[in-house]
Amino acid sequence: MTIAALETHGPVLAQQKGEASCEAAPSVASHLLHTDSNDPSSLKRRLLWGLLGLICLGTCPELGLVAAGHDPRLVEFGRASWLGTLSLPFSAALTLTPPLPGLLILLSMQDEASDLSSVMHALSRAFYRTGLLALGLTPVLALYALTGAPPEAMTVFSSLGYFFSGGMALALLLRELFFGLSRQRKRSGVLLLGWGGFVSLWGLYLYLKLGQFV
Amino acid sequence: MFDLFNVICSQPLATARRCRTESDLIPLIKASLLLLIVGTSSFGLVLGGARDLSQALATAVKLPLVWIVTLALCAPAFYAIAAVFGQPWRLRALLALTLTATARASLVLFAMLPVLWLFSDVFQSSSRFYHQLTLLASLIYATSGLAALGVLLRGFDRKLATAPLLGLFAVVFFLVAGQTAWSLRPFVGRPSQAEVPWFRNPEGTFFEAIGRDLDSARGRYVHESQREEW
Repeated sequence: MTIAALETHGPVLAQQKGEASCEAAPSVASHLLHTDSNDPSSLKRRLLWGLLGLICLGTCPELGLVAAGHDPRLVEFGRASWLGTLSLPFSAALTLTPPLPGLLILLSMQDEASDLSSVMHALSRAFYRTGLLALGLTPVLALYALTGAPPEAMTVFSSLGYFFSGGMALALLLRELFFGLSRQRKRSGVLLLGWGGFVSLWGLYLYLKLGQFV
Repeated sequence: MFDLFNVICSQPLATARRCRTESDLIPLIKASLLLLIVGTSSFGLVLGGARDLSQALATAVKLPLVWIVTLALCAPAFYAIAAVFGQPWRLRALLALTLTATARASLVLFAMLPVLWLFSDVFQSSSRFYHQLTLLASLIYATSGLAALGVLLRGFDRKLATAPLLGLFAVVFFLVAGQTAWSLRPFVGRPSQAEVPWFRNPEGTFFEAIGRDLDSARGRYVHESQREEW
C-alpha cells in the first residue's frame, strides 16, 4: 500500500475498526482525523485548530503567571502579545515543513510513490494532533501558573508540554507513513526513523532559536 | 436513583458501556455528582473534624471542590489524548465516564469513613498524629483511585495499545489533582498552628512540597527564612 492509498483507506479502516469495538458517536476530533481526511475543508479546520492550540499553549501559562502576580514585565512591554503568541505555531510549522521535501526525494529514490496532497494532509493531521494536545494541556499549565508555580518552573512545564505534544504527533506521523510503505520496508523504515530523529533535533533547535527572540 | 447508585457501585462494565453509548446520560451524571459530593464531603467532615468543627466544615467544602476542579481541568486533556490515540469518544461521553469513575471512588471514600473516624479518635493523643492521619487519608484516597480505575479500564478496549492512553490519563489526573489539592490546602491543619486559615498563600508546586515532605520525614527541616534565601 502506498502512502496515497493509506491516506485514502487507512483512516477509514481505522474508523470502521473503532466503530466495531465502540458504539460511541465519533467526536469532532475523530472526524477530523479519520473521516473526510482528504477533504480541503477538513484540512483548513485541522490547521486552524492546530494554530489555536499552540497559541493557547504559548500564551495562557504566561497570562496565568501575570494574573498570579509574577513577571509584570509581560504586561509592561506587551511581550505576551505578538512574538510570544506566534512562536510555538511558527516553531511547529517550521519543524515539519522544511525537512519534508528531503523525505519525499529520498522516498522516491527508494521507489516509494507518494502523492504530495496526501502527504500535506498527513502533515496537517500531525499539526492538528500537536495543537489538540497543546490545547488539552493548556488548562493544566494555567492551573500551575495560577497557583504558585515559579516562572522558571513554568518555562520547563510549557517546554515539556510542547515537546510532548509535538513528539506524540511526530511519532504518529511516522507510524502513519511507515505503515503506508509497501516496498523495501526495512530500508524505508530506517530512513523514516532517521528523518524523525533529524526532525526532533531540528525542532529542538528551532524552539531554542525562536525562544531567544521572544 | 438507588438503582443508579447500585449500577455505579457494582457494575463498572455496564456503567462504562452506558457512557460509551451515551444512552440516558443525564440521570447517570446527576447520580454521580450526588455521590461525589456526599462521599467526599463526608470524608472531609471526618478528616477536618480531627481538629475542630470549623476545619471540618472547611474540608467538607474543599474536598468535593478538588474533585470537581480536577475533572473540569482534566477533561480537555483527556479528550485530546483519546482523540490522538484514535478513540472516537466525544467530550460529554468522556466527562460522564470520568465523573462516574470519580463517583465510584467517592463511594469507596464513604465506605472507609469508619476506619478514618476510629483512627482519628484513638490516636489523637499521639505525637505524630498529624502525619499519621494525613498518611492514612492518602492511602484511602489511593485505594479509591483504584476503584475509579476499574471504570476507566472498562471504558476502553482491553489491548496493549490502550495502555499508554490510560497511563497518560493517570499522569494528567495525578498532576492536576495534586496541584489542585495543594492549592486548596489545608485539609487537616498543622497542630503547631493556633488558627488554621481557610486557604494558604500559594507556595510553589506540589512537587516541591513532596520534596520538602520527604526531607521532613528524614528529619531534615527547612525553615521559612532559608526557603526564602533559596
